[in-house]
Amino acid sequence: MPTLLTNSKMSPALARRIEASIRKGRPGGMAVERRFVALFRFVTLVGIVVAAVSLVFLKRRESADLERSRAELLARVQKESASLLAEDRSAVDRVEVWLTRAAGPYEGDYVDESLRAPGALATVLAAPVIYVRGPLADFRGSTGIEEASGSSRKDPFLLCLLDRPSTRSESAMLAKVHAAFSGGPHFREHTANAHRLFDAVVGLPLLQPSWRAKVRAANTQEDVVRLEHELDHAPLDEAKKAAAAHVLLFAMDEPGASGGLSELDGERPHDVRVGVVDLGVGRVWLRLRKHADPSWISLGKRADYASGLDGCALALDVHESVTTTNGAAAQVNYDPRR
Amino acid sequence: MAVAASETFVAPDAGALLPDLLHPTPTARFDFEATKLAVTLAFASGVSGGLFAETLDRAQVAPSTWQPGSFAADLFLQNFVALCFKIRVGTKESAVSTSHLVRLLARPPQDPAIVDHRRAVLAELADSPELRRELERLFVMLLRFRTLLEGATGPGWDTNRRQLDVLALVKEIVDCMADGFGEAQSGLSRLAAFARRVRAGEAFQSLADLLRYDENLATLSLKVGVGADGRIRGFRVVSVQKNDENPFVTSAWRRLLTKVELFARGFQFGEREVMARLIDAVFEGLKDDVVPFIQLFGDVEFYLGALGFRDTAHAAGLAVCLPSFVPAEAPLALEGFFNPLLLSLGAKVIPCDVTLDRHDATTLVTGPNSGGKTRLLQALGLAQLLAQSGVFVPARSASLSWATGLVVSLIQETKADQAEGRLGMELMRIRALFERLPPGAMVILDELCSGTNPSEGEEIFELVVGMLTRLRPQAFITTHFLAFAARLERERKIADLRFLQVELGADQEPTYQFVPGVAHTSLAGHAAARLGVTGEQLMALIEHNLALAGENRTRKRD
Repeated sequence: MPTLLTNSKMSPALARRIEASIRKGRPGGMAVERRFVALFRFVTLVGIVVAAVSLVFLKRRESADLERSRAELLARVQKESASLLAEDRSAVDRVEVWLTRAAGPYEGDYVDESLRAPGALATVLAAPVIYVRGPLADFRGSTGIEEASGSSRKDPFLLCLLDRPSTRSESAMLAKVHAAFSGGPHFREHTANAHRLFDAVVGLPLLQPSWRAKVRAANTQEDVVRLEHELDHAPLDEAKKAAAAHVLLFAMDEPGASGGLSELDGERPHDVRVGVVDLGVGRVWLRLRKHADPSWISLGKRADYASGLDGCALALDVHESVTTTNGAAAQVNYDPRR
Repeated sequence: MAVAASETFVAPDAGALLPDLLHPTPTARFDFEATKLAVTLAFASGVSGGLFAETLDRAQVAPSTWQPGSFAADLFLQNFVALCFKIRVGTKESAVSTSHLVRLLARPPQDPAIVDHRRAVLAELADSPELRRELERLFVMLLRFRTLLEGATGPGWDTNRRQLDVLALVKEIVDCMADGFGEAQSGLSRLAAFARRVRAGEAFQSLADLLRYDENLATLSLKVGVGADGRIRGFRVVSVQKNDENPFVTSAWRRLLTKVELFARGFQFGEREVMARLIDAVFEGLKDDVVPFIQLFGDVEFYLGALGFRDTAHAAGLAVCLPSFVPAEAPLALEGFFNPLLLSLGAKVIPCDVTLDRHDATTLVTGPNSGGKTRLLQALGLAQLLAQSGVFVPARSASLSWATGLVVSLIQETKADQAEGRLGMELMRIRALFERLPPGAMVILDELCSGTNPSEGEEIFELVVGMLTRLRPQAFITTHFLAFAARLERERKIADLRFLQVELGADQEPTYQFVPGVAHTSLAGHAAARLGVTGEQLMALIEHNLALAGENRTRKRD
C-alpha cells in the first residue's frame, strides 16, 4: 500500500521496506490491535465530521428559518402598517397631549357654538371617535394614561352619548345600561365608530419602525416566535381605526368628596370632566364638568347599576348642556325631578 | 568415540559471506532465523538480557573427536579460561564469555585445516600490533553494541534515540571492519570482505542516509547580534539549506501529511512515529548482516583471549608459542614449558624442558612429593588442548603430535554416594578409560593404583600399561611405586615405555625439571618435615596440648 513516507528519491527496496513496516507496525506489536485502533479512529473521525457537517447544516437551516420567519413577520408588519398614515402613527402622542392638558387645572366649561345646532353633536360624534374614561389623576402622565386606557371600556356613558335615551327616566336609561353591559348587537351597532384608546396604545407600537428594528434584531427563532405571538394577539385593526379617529372623547372622574358613601360598584358623588376634541384640527368641541351622584337612583337598581346609570345620566347632561342656549359654560347638573 | 556436535553443523552457504574468524569456510554456527528474531525483538524493545551469551552458548562448534567430560574438570579448564584468557583494552579489562570459550577449547576441531586457519589469524595478530588494535577496537564496539541491544530500558528512555545509537554503532562496526582489516592476509581479511559487501548494499546506503538525516536535516546560517554587555540580543536567519539530496528529507507539509497518515493507520501522531517507521525499515534491510555480529563477538573474544593469555605469560617472564605439529614417532620437545594455572597463584613459575624421543610412548613420571609431577601432567594436557584448538601453548617452543582425544585422571575426590572404595573407584576409572580411548589419544593418569598395597597394585599397573601400548597413546603416568618403575626400566619388557623423573638439586630439593630415569626416593621425609610431621614436631604439639588442658582444669577449680 503506498504511503507518503516514501518518495521518488528512495531506492525501491527501501520504499518496500517502509511500506512493510507500516503494514506490520512495531516489531512485537499487535497488528490486529493497530487495525482496531485505526478503525476506531476512522469511525471517530467520520463521527466528528458527520457531527460537524450536521451542525453546520442545522445552523444554516436554523439561520435560514430564522431569516424566513423574520422576513415573514416583517412582511406582515409592513402589510399591517401600510394603511397607516404618518399622523396616525403619532395618534397616541397627540391624544396624550390633550388628555394631560384636560387633567390639569380645569379651564372652565366650553361648548363650541357650532354644536348647538340640532344634531350637531351627533354629527361630530358620528365620526370615528377615540374614547377613554378614567380617574383624573391617571391622566397626568403617559404611564397613567396607559393604565387608564387599559381599564377603560365602552360603557353606558358612551352608548348614551352616541344613542341618547328617549327619556330621562330610570327605566329608559336602565335599558341603555343593560344594552351596554350585555354588549349586544344594539350596543355594537351604536358604538361601532368609537374605539378604545387602549387599542391604539397597545397596537400602534407594533406598527412602528422601532418594532420592525426589534424584529430584525431577533437572534433566535424563539425571539421571532415571541414577537410573532405579540403581533398575533395585538388588536391591530382596532388600533389602526383608533389611530385614524378624528375625535377624542374622554371622561375624567375627579375624586369624590371625602367621607361620602360609595355604592357597591364604587359609584359615589363626584365631578366628571368630559371633553370632545377635534384631533384633526386641534379644536375643542366641548369641555364640561358635571357632577355625578347616584342618590337619584332607586334603591332596587342602585346596588347593581349605580355606575352605569350615573354614566348614562352624565351623557344626557352633556346633551342637555349642548342644547341649552343660556350659556355654554352653564353648569348643568342632573336633577331627578326634571 | 562420538563426534561432538557434528550432526547439526551448518553447511557453508555459497551465497552468504559471513565474518566467521574460526573456520576456513565461513559458517553460521547458530540458528540464524531464531537469532534474527531475537535480535529484532531486542532492537525493538531493548529487553533481551543474555541474548549474546545464550546465542554463543548454544552455538555449534566444529566437529571434534574430543570429549570434554574426559578431561575438562581435571584440567580445571574453566579456571584456566577465567584466569588466563583475559581481554584488556587500554586499562580496562572486559569480562569474557567463559562458557563459550570453554566450549570452544574443550572441543578441538578434528579438521587440521581449521586449526591452521586459527593459527594463521593468531600469528598475524601477534605479529601486527596495528591489526590487534583494530581487533580490540572492533571488540569494544561489539561490546557497546551488545550493551545497547541487551539492556537499555528505563523510564524516560527514548526508543528512537537508542535505536539510532544502535544503527550508528552498526555503521561504525562495518566501517571498522572495512577500513581496519583491508590489509590482513589471514582469515581476518574476511572481515574486510564482509564489510565491503555490506557497504556496497542499498541497506547500508540507507543507513548512512538516515544517520545523516538524523544529524543534519538542514543547515541554518544565522547572524547573531551581541549587545554591549556581551549578551546575545537576537539573531537573524540568513539562509536555510536543506539536504534535499537525502531521500529522507521531505517538505514540512509532506511530513505533516505523513503524520496524519500514520495516525489514521493506527500509529501515534508525531515526528517520533515517522522516525520509528524509517528506523524500522532501515534496520530491516540490515538485519541479516547484523545477526552475525553475535558470532563475530565470540570469535573476537577467542582471539583476544588467546592474546591475553600470551600477555599474561609475558608479564610473568614466560613465553608462549604456536607449536609445531609433528608425526607421532617424531621427538616430543617442549622448551620453557610451564603450567599456566600457576600464573594465577602469584608464585614464581619455573619453566622446564621436556623431551622424549617420540610421542606415541607411555611415560612413567616419578619423583618426590610436591616435585611438580601433577603440575606437569596438567600442563601437558592443557598444552595439547590449546595446540589443537589453534592457540598458543605454554612453552617457548613446542613440537607436538596430533592426538585423537584426551583422557585425564588427576583428581580423586571421595563422594558420599560412591559405591566402591578407593581401589574400586580406581579400577572403574581404568575400565572407563579403555571404553572410550581411541587409538592415538593422549592419556594422563596420576598415581595409578595407589589405593591398594604396592605388590597387588603393581600387578594391575603393569597390566594397564601393557594394554595401553596397544592403542599407541601419548601416555603420561605418575607413580610412587619406585622399585616397580625401576624394575620396568631395567627389564624393558613393555615396548615404548619411557621414564622421566623429577630432578633433584644438590640439596636434594626438587628443581622442578624433568630428566630421563626413575627416581630413587619420594623424599616423603622432606615433605613431612616441610609440613611439620616429624617426630619432634608432633611431640611438641602433644606437650603443648597437655599443658593447655592442665591450665583449663586449674581455672575451673578456682
